[in-house]
Amino acid sequence: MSNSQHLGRQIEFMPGNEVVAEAALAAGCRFFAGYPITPSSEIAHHISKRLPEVGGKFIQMEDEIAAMGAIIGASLCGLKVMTATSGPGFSLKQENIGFACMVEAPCVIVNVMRGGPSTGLPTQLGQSDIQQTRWGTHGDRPVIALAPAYLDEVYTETVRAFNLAERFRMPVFVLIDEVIGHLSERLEIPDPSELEIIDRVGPNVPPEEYIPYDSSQSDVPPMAAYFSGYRFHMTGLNHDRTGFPTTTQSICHSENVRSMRKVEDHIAEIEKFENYLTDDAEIGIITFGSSARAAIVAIDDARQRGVKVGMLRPLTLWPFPEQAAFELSKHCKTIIVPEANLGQLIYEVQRVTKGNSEVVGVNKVGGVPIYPGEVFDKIVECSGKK
Amino acid sequence: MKRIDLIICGFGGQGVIFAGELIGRAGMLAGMESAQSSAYGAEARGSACSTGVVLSDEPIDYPIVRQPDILLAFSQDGYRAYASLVKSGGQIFYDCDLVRPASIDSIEQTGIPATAEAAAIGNKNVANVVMLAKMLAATEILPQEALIKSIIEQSSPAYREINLKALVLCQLCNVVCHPKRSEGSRLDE
Repeated sequence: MSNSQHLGRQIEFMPGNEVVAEAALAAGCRFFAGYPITPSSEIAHHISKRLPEVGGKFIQMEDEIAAMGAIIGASLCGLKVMTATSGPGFSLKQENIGFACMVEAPCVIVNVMRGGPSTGLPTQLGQSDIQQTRWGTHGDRPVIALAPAYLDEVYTETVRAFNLAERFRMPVFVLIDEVIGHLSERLEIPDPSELEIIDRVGPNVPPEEYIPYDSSQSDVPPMAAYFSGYRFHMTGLNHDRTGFPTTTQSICHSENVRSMRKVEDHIAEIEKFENYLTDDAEIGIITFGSSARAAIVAIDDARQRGVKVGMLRPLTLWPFPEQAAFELSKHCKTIIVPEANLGQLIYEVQRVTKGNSEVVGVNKVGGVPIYPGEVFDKIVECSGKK
Repeated sequence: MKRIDLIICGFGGQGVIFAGELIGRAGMLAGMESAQSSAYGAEARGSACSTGVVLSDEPIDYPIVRQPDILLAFSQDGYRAYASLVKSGGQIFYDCDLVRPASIDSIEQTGIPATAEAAAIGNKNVANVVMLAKMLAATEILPQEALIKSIIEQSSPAYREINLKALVLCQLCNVVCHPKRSEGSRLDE
């Protein structure tokens, strides 16, 4: 990156992974623990240099599991925290992600997706962790995942990920893919004064009156920090408002439901998507990340041929923008779902469009991004205008 | 819309990806939209690698280069992989000590002793800058000043001076070697 100072609104040219790191710092991230893994390593590399400059700490842990544990610990001590990884590391983190959900520790997990399964294609593109993000760790829990496609969005969505994590006391995922992580492009970094920064709500009672899971005022309990004079217990077991384990069915049930409500009752606040030429669309496209950038080119080409096609692009991938997808399906005979996997988001699209449209995929794995021509061919095939 | 697609290819360690970063940043500094992507293997040194750069006067939606207008080749393998993808009317610049070109219709090919000239300048690692300077002089896709600024901003302190030296020397003595057509074989043979 350049030698220019990080003050004021500025034009930059840097890879997506470094954009994630810079945005995290702007959002207030002061602790990062990670284990290097391509294609996410530049995030750790860049933030390891930058965190000490702002009084933060970087730790390279012995593996991804430990890195996830470390950020949960630092979060419970009051810091804004992040880790970054890719497919195999994301799989390893799943158990501790569940723990973060259970103790309601705000944290940001960035997954720069590559080809899989297993070690797969370390240096090449994949978008194959869509359903793992939703269902990867066991148990019922809320999920927020953001999927930016352009580098200015990588910046703003990473900041938003921290805000949502702090606002709702939960892990928030940023899903990018190898193409976006390694892509450098011209982007405008906002002035810090333009950013909305949300901090977690702390206790408004003295330590002796603090109840760690007191949800009497809000489904998001005020959160104290360790080593600040407040003593409290954290466990991965089902617990009551005191933080100590319980097996009382009614409490376990209500606490689980409360946790889900944090997202379910605030969809409008969390949801974010872009409609591109959808108003008169007879064919719809729903996709995200680098696949969406191929789809836009295909849509413009197809429109020139007179095909009425448009795209719904979720920036919040989970929770999925159900209502927007349903509205699109009302006037589209076909919805195309391009994704660099063998069909994952398509299941959600099929579920929420309730049979209104025929839903078809454009799928490719093997490390190469989806080409505009591949989406264009599918649009033409579905339009019958060969 | 004016859009120029470039591919630079070679092996890890030749500064291929860095050359892409330099030209990408130079495009941005010249006021254009600019996107640079890269492809490489698991090894840090020696495996095939390439970088694609898109320069455009409009926002760039699809940032991946599939058919370049301009190819810069630092290895025979890279040349073999990408030369046939260059658009008709496009240009290929290759390191003439490392690449034996084939004859391709409707493509202008220019051999540049980039690595040899870089060694003469004092460090063969600046072959990437030599190649970029000669390509810019021949194509004028960007002003040389943009590349100077890009080198100043993008280079590590250890390489800033010698990169600038390489650029200035190339601007002063714009010598290129043109291969004889008979040296090569047809690409499809």
